[in-house]
Amino acid sequence: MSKCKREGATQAPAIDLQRIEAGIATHPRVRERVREVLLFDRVLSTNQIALQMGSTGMPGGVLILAEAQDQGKGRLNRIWVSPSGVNIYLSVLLRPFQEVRDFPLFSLAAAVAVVQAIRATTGLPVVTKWPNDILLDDRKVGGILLETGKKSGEVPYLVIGAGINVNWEENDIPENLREHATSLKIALGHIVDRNRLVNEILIALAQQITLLDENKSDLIIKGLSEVCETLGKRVKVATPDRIYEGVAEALSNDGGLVLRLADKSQRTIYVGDVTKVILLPPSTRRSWGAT
Amino acid sequence: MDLKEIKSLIQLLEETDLTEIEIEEHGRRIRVRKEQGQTVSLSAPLHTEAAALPAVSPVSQALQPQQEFSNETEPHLAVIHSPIVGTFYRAHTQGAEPYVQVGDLVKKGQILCIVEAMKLMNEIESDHDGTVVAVCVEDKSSVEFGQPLFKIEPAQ
Repeated sequence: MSKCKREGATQAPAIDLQRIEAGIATHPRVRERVREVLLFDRVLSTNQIALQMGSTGMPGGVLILAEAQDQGKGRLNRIWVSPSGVNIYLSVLLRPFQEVRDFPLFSLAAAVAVVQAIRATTGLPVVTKWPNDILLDDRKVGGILLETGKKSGEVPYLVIGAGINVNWEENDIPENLREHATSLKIALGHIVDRNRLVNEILIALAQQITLLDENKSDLIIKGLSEVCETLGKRVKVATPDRIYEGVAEALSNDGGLVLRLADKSQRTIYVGDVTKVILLPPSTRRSWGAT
Repeated sequence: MDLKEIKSLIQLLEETDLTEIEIEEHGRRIRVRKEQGQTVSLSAPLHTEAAALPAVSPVSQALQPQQEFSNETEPHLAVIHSPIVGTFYRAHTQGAEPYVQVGDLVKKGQILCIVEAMKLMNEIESDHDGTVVAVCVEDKSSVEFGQPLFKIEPAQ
């Protein structure tokens, strides 16, 4: 009963296809990028639909939105918990003219876009963890996953997928995730307009992709550097075959994370899970063992 | 490290729950790994850049060797190259079966592997119908742009 009450009091409006299409229509840059929007009640994952479209020859410029995902996924098929009616799950199918070797830059462009859009919509000081996790108060509020493929003889397709915890209630977040995940609503104390946020994401994404089209990836790297909380921190990076520890000094021209290792050498990382290393102050360290 | 010592490493691996032992000594790296119930060992000269394991000399036939590939010497084989700098995965999920094994018949358009960079997962497909003759890179290792990943003998 208390659950019904809570839901009744905080019901988030549904994703409104017409509003989103109207928002796209008013921004020429977005209109150029997104020619079709598909909204689903429930899907396996929005990326999976967009990938299927890409692999069967569908031209770029399709936005897939869903109210729920049954198999929302992150990197290496990790699960992205995707409850119905509260969050944003979207994927954009593109066919960029850039070489595939430059596609990873779209990952960073998407991170900058999502940060800008959340900040514009809510004013919350969201940041990124390299390469493109979206964090709020050190907890994950959004994730981005890009997937690409190519059929022989065709222009490669690129899918940019994003999941954002918008109006998720704290009590509805699975217990094992509460320490690591949050939502915009939890931080603000009120519902966030998902339709507006989707449109802001599209506007910011179109701007960032335009930078890539104009060969200004340095501005994307600069934009990400300004919102990337990883930089300047002592971090551990778990790559698939080893763990590096060092200070995250900068982003390389192609978006890699430049680490200064203990032996003073530099190493640029392109794949890995970053965690901050918290150095306890000496006084704290001394107190260990005294108790 | 001599053969006897390598054998003792293999024995150690087989007698324990460990899945991998790696030792660096005198400029050489020896790695012994259990794979699908088998034990394989690889050795490689150490590089100052530890990102990618260079060409290796297989001690066992259980794993297809990495080797320098030259299209000039094997012009009948098709080579699948990495389109990006990133990490090479033979399976879509950790612990899952590899997409393909050496000896597998593959179809044009069949997924062979994933190369990841900065949360961009790039599914690499076969350009040919044919047989996988070699996997040129070790699972989860770093790859450079243009690096050979697979050799495929096209079907006649």
